[in-house]
Amino acid sequence: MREIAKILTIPVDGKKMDFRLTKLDAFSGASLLRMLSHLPAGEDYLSFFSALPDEDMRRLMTVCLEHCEVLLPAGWNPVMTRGEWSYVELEHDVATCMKLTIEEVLWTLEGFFGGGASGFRPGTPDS
Amino acid sequence: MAYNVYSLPDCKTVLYHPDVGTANLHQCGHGKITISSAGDLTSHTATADGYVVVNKLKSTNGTITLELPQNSLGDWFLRRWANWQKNSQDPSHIALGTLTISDAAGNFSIVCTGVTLQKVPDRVFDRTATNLVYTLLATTITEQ
Repeated sequence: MREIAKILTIPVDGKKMDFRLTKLDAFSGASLLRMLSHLPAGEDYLSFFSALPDEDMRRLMTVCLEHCEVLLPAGWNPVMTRGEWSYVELEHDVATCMKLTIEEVLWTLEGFFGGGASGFRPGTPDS
Repeated sequence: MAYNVYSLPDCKTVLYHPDVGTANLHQCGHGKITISSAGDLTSHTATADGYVVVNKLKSTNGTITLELPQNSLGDWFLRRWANWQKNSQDPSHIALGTLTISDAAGNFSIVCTGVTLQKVPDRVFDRTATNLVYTLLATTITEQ
């Protein structure tokens, strides 16, 4: 089966937390590509975010954070649900939210731009 | 003329526990919520000849009953909470839950702290979904 989730460890308030990132589906991924295609290429992340219009930035962060879960002692818990915080610890944590957004974008588009073609590998017959 | 307004859709109900997460119950459908104080605020001590002393009592704790649709996000969240509470190796964390209800139309909010699950509700398998009643205990109920 195609890998659509990956686990990432990011420190929150100095505590290492595991986040599970699920890829956006093909339609959301395509609209993400369209959003990114308007931006200057080859820039770093900060200029990528600064070139994004306000409403696109908000929409992008919301969609990305809705696809992230955090591992708490009781199990996986969504970071955001329908635009509202489900992991309120991140509400005022700009750095972690940006990091998760970037990682989610990269993970969704992983394998799209040449190089590793892992995203295009067909599933094995028994998967 | 001003009208009195009540609006459940404008109530934001949020359950939170640092080890379990946050459930925004207003997003996933909830039924009736009842918050009841456990103790009295005043009582009387009367003598045989009718002399009355009014006692001012302190009581902050109480019970919360939540009706949640079977298999909703809130049901899933509380079931996870219950499982975690049962298996928790660290009892110091069990009472860290909170429930906040902000009523925009009524212009007030209720904050319950020290929230724990009293029991797991009955698991019902019927032809259609039912509303499950979760009972929570709160050490402190405040209204602002």
